[in-house]
Amino acid sequence: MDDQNHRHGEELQSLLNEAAASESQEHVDTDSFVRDLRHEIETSRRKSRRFQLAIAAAVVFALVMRFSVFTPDPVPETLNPVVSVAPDLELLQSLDVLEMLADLDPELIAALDPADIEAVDGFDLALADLPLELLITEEGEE
Amino acid sequence: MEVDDEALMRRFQGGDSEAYEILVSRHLTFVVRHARRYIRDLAGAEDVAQLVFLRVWKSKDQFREAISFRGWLARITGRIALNEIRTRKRKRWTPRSSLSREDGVETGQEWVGGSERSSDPAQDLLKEERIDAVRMAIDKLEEPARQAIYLQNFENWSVARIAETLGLTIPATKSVLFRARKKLQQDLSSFMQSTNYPDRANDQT
Repeated sequence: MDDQNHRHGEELQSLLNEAAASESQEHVDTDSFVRDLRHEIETSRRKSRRFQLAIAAAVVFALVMRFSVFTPDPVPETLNPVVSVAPDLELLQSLDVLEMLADLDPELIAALDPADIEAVDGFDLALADLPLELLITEEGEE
Repeated sequence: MEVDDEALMRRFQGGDSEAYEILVSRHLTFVVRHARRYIRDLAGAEDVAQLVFLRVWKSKDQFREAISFRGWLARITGRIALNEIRTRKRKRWTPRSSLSREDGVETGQEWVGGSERSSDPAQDLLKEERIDAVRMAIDKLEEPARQAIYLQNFENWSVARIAETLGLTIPATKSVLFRARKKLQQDLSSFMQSTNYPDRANDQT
C-alpha cells in the first residue's frame, strides 16, 4: 500500500514537473510596463486628490449648512433672499394700514368711512388701495 | 551586492520611488507568470500585474516583514487574479483578440503552451493533452490549495515560505498540500497510468 502511494506520488510529481517545465517564459517589456505604471500611479494620485478635495468641500458645506440651521440669524439681513427683494410699495402701504387698524375694535373698523381713513394723519391712501376686507360694511348701513 | 527586497521595501516606505521601480523590475516576470496561472492570456496577466504593483504602491505601509516581499506579492497576485476571473465571469469576458481563440477552447482558458517540441507529433499531442489535464486538475482545486500547489511545484518554494505567504502554519500548509495532491492523484489517475502504459492514453478522450 505504501509502495503504491509512493509510486502514485512520484507519478504525480512527474506530471507536475512536466507541466511546470512547459510554462512559457514570456518576455515582458519592463520599461514599457514601468512607464505605464507611472502613468497609472499619477492618474490614481490625481483621482485621489480630487476625491479628497470633494470630501473636504462636502464637509465644509455640511458645516456651513449646520451652522446656518442652528444659529438664529447668522446671515446678514442684506443677504437674506426674502429681505433682499424690494417689497412692492402698495404692499408696504397696506401693511402700514393693517398695523394701524390692528388695535381697533372690528366693529369700529366695519363702521369706518373711507374718509375717516384718509383723515388719519400721515395717510393719503387712495381708497382703492385698501385691502378689500377693510371696506366691508354692514349691509344695513348701505 | 544586490539589495534585498525587504530593504528596498523599507526604502520605498520612506519615500524612495526608485526603490519601488527596482522592485517592479525585479519581480515583474514572476508576477506575470503567477497571474498567468489564473488568467491564461498574456494581456490579461499583464493587466493583473499592473493592478498588483499599483496595490503595492498604495498599500506600502501594510507590508510587514513577517512575510517576504515575494510572498506578499504572490498573495496579492493570487487575490487580484481570482477577482479578475470573477469579474470576467460576471461580464462574460471574451479575449481581446478573437483571432487567437481556437474552437473548443474555453474562453480565458487558452493553454499557455510554448514548450519545446519533439520530432514526434503524436508524442507532442499526448504531452500537451497531459499538461492540459494537469492544469485543469489544478484549476479545480480550491484556494489556498491551488496556490500552494503552484508555488511548491512551479516555483519550487519551501513549505515554510508557502505557509507565510498563505498566512497558515506549517502543519496546516502541509495538510493543505497533502489533500491537494491526493485530489490531483484522483483526477489524474488515468494520465498517471498512461505514463506507464502509453497505449492506454489512446483510449482517453
